[in-house]
Amino acid sequence: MATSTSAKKHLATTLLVPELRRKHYAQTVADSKAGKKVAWCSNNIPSEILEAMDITSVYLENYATVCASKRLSSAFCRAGERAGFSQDVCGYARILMGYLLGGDDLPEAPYGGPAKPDILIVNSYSCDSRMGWFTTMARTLDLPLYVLDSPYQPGGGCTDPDNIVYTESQLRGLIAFLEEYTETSFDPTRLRQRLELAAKANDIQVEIYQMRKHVPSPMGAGDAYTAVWPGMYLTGSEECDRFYEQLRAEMRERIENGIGIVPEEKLRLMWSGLPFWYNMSLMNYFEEKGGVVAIENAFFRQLRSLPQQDEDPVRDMALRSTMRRGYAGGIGERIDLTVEVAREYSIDGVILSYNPSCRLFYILQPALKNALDRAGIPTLALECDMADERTYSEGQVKTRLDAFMERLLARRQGDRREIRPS
Amino acid sequence: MKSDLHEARERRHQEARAWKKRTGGKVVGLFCCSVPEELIHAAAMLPVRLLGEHEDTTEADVHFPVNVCPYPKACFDQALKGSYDYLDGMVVPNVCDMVRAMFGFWQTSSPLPFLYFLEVPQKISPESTEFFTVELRRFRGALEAFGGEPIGDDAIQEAIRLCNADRELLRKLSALRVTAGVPGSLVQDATLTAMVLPKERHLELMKAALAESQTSPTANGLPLFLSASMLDESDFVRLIEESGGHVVADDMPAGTRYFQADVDEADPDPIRALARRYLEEIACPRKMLPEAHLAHMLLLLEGSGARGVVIHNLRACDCHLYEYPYFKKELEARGMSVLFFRGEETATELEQQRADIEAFIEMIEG
Repeated sequence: MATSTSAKKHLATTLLVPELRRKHYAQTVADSKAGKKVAWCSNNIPSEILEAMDITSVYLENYATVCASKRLSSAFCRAGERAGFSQDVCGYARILMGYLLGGDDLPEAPYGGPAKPDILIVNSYSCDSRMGWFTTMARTLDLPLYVLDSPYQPGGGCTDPDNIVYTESQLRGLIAFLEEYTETSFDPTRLRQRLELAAKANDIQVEIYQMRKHVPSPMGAGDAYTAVWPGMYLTGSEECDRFYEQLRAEMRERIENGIGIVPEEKLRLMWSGLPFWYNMSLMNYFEEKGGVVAIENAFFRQLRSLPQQDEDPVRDMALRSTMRRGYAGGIGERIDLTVEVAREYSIDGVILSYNPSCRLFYILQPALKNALDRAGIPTLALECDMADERTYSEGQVKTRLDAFMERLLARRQGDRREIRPS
Repeated sequence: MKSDLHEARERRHQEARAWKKRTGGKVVGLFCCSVPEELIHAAAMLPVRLLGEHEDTTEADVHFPVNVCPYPKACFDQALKGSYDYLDGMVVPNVCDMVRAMFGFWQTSSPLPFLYFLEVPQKISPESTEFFTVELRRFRGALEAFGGEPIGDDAIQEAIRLCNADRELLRKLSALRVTAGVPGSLVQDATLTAMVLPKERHLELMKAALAESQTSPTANGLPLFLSASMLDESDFVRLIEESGGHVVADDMPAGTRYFQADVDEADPDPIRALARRYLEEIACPRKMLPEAHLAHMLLLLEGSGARGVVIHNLRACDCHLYEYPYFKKELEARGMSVLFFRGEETATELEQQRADIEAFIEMIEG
């Protein structure tokens, strides 16, 4: 197995995640062997529905990040390219296409490979790449595919009845698809229980994100990129809720005792876009000079507490997901939100991660840079793929980070000189 | 020598400005084959498909990173340079990551009195058609509010008849590629100008082009099929012709995809008829599964006499990129040679492509 370059974690609770993840993947394989049906899913597929129907879900973007974090992305991406997929194609997709089509000379896949699927489910909302990726896999594996379609709603549209009706039709279509292909039946009461658990975990995460405004930072990105995992992949489980309760308690304690990530917090940074999963230790690189990546903009957009909207759990989900999409908005809203968050979290500088194969985040970054420049917040652009390690150059990246931090520190000292009486 | 249709593409901005001056109407820009231009016509406005120019995108480069689809970027560049200063409104459909992002870019950097985001489902199903029908009713309402006048069903039906008539002439000209050696570049110019000119003016040009096709010099190169993402200029097809090829049939947005299907004039609900045509009958890889898209392409290929397939995908066009390995395999399994290009929107790339096309043609001719 290749060497991992994972981030050093500062919180005891976050250290639990690797074991939770290992157990989760082992459980999915055991489920498959025991005859439970397995769905390969893209992000934004509601696992609450699958859990309520006793269907095991495997989220492939996450599996791709695991491959990248174990330094296997080069081999799998190369194999994906041998199968005909351009380097323009999403790094996550190339990893999985390489795994599926790459031949016999590939390294051993993490956790022995993802559990063998019976069905595939993809959400159209996030990006075009997921659609192409999942339709290709469905053909390769000769398995049924369900496309959960969603409106994009760039201008809001949270309460447009048409968006809600269509979203509900897509969720009901998913349930019918699952019943048909897995011979399981849908129980609304079980879904309601899952939704309540998921809402609880979501609300705690909202609190945690608020707590991260505190100076010194109670949790940096090295921990945060790991801490999102249970909320994304164990949603609607008691284990997930316990995890976030424990994390919240630990963060409260750190805040009460003034414990930060570094002894003297000199710089607060934001990471915009996806991290480089094959080198998460970069998140700790700033710490030597008193820098902390206090917030990221990849996951908080849609985090907000949403109370139950309807008695019927499927309609409730349709309403809540329509509202979340509306809040996430389009490019204009996303730019405004990032600038606002940079201010709220007292950010000194923003690292813009240009991931060329992730169009979703990539398209936005120069516009974000321009907006942050206008707001007087310095930025540094790093162009490296989130998954394909071959695009990363350690020396170049660190030289640029060093220069950026020097610039920010000088700016800070300048600020101090300005406010210090002469 | 440039045809009238080719020149009309170059003169499109003057044509739009002249129309605006003459009629006092509003001009609405749009992206993609999924926006029903009939509704804009019915509102007495001029729909204009946005096209780029093959020049340095000096203005848009500030807003976009490198590895994105160059087509919307080139369009935005033209807007920032003032070429589209006559636009009163824009319709941005949810048709791909890059185009849908343009809504925000127009909102923040090129504001207009009317900016509409059209939701387009990404799958073909009864629920999707229902949603799209409702969405088109909402779009009609937005146009009514913008224009200050109601849009009657009769006006929509009239616009449907007008657009169907134009599509019929385009299909006639397109068929002449196979039967009478009409050059593929002429058909593409005819298609591109249909997207930007007032329909009445385009109908005149089409009638003239069909009449001239009886006497014009004919293409006699190696028959080829062209599958492409957006080609907003006919220069690539012209390059194929100069290299000894003849594009006899195609599957591309600025080609057959634009004119292949008509709107059902007999449907008493014209909005539903538009929803059906624009969602279900356009062979777009964003909405249909690759297997269905391939079947559609094979139907177009069949009977065209093409002896090879050229696939031109714009850089970072995810909708088409994923299909390519599958299409290549299936086409080669049917004995068809395939040449692939990853396209940019630059003039310089054409010269680099020339040698590849010539070699491809030579290889097929043996």
